Amino acid sequence: MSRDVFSEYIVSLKNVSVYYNSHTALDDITLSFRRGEFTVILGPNGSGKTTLLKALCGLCKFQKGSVKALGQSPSSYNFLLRRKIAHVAQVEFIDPKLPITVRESVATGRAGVLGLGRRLSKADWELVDNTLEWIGISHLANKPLGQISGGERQKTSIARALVQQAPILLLDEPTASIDPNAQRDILDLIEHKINIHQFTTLYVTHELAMIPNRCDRIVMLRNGKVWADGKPEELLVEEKLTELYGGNGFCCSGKFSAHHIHH
Amino acid sequence: MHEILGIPEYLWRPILAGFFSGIACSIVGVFIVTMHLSFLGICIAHSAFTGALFGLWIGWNPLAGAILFSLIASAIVGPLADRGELSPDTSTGIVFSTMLGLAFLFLGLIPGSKASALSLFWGNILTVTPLDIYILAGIALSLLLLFTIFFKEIHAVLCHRQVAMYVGIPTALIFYLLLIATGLTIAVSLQTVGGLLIYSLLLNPSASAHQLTYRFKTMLVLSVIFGITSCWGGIALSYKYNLPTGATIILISSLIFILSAIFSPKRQVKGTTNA
Repeated sequence: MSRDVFSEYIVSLKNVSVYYNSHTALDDITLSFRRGEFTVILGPNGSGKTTLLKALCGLCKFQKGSVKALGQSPSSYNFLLRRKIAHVAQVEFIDPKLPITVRESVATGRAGVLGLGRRLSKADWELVDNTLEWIGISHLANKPLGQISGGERQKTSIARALVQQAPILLLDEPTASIDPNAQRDILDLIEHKINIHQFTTLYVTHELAMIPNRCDRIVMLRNGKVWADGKPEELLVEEKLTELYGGNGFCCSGKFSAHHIHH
Repeated sequence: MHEILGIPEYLWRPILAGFFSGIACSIVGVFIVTMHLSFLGICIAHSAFTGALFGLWIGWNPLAGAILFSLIASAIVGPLADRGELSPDTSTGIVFSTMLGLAFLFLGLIPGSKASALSLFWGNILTVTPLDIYILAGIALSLLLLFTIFFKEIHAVLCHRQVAMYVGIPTALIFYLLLIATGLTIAVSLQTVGGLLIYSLLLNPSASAHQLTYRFKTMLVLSVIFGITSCWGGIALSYKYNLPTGATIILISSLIFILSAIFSPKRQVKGTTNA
């Protein structure tokens, strides 16, 4: 199936606003995403990208508007819906002494899908092991999760999200902690999986160099609002990017590949 | 003196009580230690103690009061900590001090001798009744069943609650189930083990196990072994040298912790914030 043939909207936000005390994180956002669509959410720090993803999977309360994913309203209690939304969050601190290994952590991705009280089958464990191998961390399988590096933990999170095999994939700066030399490789691996499984993907980044090679759509956020929404060739132009980032000399950083910008 | 398997008949009840208390408290302890909720455990233990005093004051069975108050404490502290409006330590501290105040109030209100009330502080494992043992066995077996059936969910929630939530595990359900189990275990163990001893049985075996392994299953098994060893070792020492049983149980569990900390493979592991 070609990714340019999208059948229906399966994720939508209508007039969604999120406030943290007096700070407006999302301001009257209306967006819809089609099945199989690969969207990059772009914007400077504090533009509301992470909050948008959290609102989509019910992990943050929105004060106004409505959100639908696969026909259901996400909420902190709607764990059945969350099984259908895989989420790679930014790396957080964890206790290095926690009794959990990398392999067990990845297997958690299957724990929700299987349902309460059901054990992982041999096929589930094979999927976990193959994904560890595929992402290049099988040698860490039996290491304590708290004792691997931030980048390795991020790969673990990606592997966990992929074994979930959910139709919707939310990626919040999935390569941020990974060694710069390996970032592009990991991104290519993720893109490969997305192409195979046709996940509806929302990929958040503030780093222009980390925009995937092939994406269907770019949504630009600024100050909690949708600042621009369109095709990559329309929005990934120097003029737009300079304006979005407030003329911070983004293309002088050396991180952004020339192929991304459409002059 | 009548003996069974070479052990005086009157010692069998404390041995069984120690066995089931050791299992129940150690399992609940794994929840408390892994989630860094030691203070919450202490708070619930005080609440159970307060409830037992309340029961004595109004003429109920102290166990009913202990269960009621420990469940009330769990129901207040859990959501307060969860909603994030107050830090878990602050909300637990407020409930803890309130319960302590109520405990002194009820102690003052109990008419006549306070001996039965004060005995709740240290309990008396040597005078357990068959009913106490049945209740302890029921709680211990229920916990074993809970941890066996929901092992993968409990493991995920204890080690990484946020991730467990992302992947669609009903984290609130599992967390509150464990909180209620903690309340019940503490309340039921209060009369036999005592309000002071309960901390050591909750924390020491699981904290010792936590020092020795990165495997959750191994941690559970070690914790139970340490819990039972502490109880049985304490009873044996107390019997042999005519010492207070509660004190010997605490000291053996503390000794196990010290040895575990000395030989811990985690001694060199320090917390780091991964970027």
